[in-house]
Amino acid sequence: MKLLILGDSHTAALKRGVDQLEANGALDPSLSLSVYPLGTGARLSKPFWQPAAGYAAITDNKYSKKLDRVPPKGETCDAVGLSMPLWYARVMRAMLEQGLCLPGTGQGQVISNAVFRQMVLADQEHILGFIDHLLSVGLPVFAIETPGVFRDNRFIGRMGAQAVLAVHQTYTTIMRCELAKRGVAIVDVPPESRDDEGFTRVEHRHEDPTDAHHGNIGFGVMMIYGIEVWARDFAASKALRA
Amino acid sequence: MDNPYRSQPAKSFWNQTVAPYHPQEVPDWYEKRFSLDGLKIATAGSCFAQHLGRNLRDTGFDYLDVEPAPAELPEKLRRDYGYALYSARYGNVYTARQLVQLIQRAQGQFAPLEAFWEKDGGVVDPFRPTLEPEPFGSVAEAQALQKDHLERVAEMFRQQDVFVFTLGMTEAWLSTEDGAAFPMCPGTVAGDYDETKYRFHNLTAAEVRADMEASIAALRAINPALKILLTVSPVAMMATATNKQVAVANAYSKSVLRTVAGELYDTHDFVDYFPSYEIITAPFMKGSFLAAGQRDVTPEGVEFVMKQFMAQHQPPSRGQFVDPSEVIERAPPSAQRPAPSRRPPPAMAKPSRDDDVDLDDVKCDEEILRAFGDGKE
Repeated sequence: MKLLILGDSHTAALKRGVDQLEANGALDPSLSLSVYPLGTGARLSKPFWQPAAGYAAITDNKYSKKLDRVPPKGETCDAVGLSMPLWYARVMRAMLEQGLCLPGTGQGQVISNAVFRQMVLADQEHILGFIDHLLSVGLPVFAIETPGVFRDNRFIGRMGAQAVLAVHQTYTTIMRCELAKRGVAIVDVPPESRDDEGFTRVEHRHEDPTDAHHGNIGFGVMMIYGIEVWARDFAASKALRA
Repeated sequence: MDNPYRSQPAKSFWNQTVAPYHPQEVPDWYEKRFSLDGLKIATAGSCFAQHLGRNLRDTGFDYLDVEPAPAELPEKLRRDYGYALYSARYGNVYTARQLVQLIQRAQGQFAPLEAFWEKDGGVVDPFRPTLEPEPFGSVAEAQALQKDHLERVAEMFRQQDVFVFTLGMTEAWLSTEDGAAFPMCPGTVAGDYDETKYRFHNLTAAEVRADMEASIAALRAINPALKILLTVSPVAMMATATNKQVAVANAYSKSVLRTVAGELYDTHDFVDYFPSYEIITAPFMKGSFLAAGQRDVTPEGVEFVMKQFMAQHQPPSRGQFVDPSEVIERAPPSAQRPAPSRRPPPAMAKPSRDDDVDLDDVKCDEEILRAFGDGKE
């Protein structure tokens, strides 16, 4: 089974995970994983693709240098994994800059959950459109969860832990609902990777001490294992349907 | 024979100021009492106040918005969620009673017993029940939003130099328990109507005057230099709870409000009155600025009203903005005025489909009463 994985900067940990598993001969031999980091997630809230017959053309001038269409010309794939739909930081940053918070979670101008939902849907508009188009051309899509919130996330010092966790949780709940509506499965960060408060455990944190939001190679390996499980289930259900 | 009328200017005489002119070229509607230059301006009131606020903001006045829309909230949704309508998200403040209580609530002097209304499995704020399209998910959410809102309204009262208030109507729905004034009748958009809990009251001129005097006193206690600019909404009532025909009830309501606005102007030198009501509804305007249904004001009407306003309050962003009425204002008595034009100005054209969209852009939650009139719109 050939899987194409693409998305924001969190694909870097996935790529490193694939490389390590391949080097150790630990990658499921029935799987072919191609990982394409498109670039920083900041540009995913802008129009970054256009529909084309049988594929999606990547039109963002930076992303297209990494991958100009999905699937790549002359290639086929069985499914596309996206590290895009569950990353909350653009909206978190916007809330921080404007001093906004969800009800009962911190200091600042309180916005309703409904307003927040509209902000999330606006943030994800082009990603959801991208998913819809891939599904419409017959490409199965799954989503890959990003690391969540580490305890030393820089937003916490400015917004407070409760506010940051609430934004993350509410954002991902909204997007899980949107993905479920489309039948898009999610490869989750395992629950045991989070502590009781909801922070991602420090052992998954990036090796760079100044990077408090990306996962490390171990996180990448863990998520690739999750993708393998999903792929086996997907293959089995496909076989059943056949 | 000498008499006081001899020294009156042309604008004092109907046959010099109204009769010779095309309705839209009638001059001298308004002469400002104070300048808005460099002053922080806040707006509230009935839905027509949204036009004033938007124009003040868009033309570069120092317009206060203490509850700005999240930048990430799409522009097309902002008004639906109660943003960018007024200087804070209080929704439409139709009555003087609502205003005085808003001030008291913001200052922690009044805590209404009724904290929320139920709607569609969620809850709404009874004092702004149409703030957002969907109800809040919980009482806690509604209360968190209300608390933050009132704190920001209090901050707005501290910051404002000019408070622009559009008086909307006199018909009020009050709590029988504590007199809390709601913007809408319970049971229309949310909540349940219970005649033991709510009562209808049509405010008298004396009551409106008392509420406005109390509001002004409270606001000037916060800022003794505060200036007030009053208008009366030219938008007619959608429905009346009295036993009068709606147009008759509307005439009472607007007459009371116009009377009180005039009394306040005459009593306080820091109160100005801008005649948006007269500009739209004067008989000689022949309803040309009223949309189909004769209730809403057309976009051309709003533009015309704002031109009269901006002619006196030059917008900071327009630099050399000169309005035709300014030319007329400088002119000596009627004999030397430019000859009245008989051509119908372009603004007389029928509203287009796009204009209808513009009309909808004003969020007037009183519109919801349409849904409760058995389709008799």
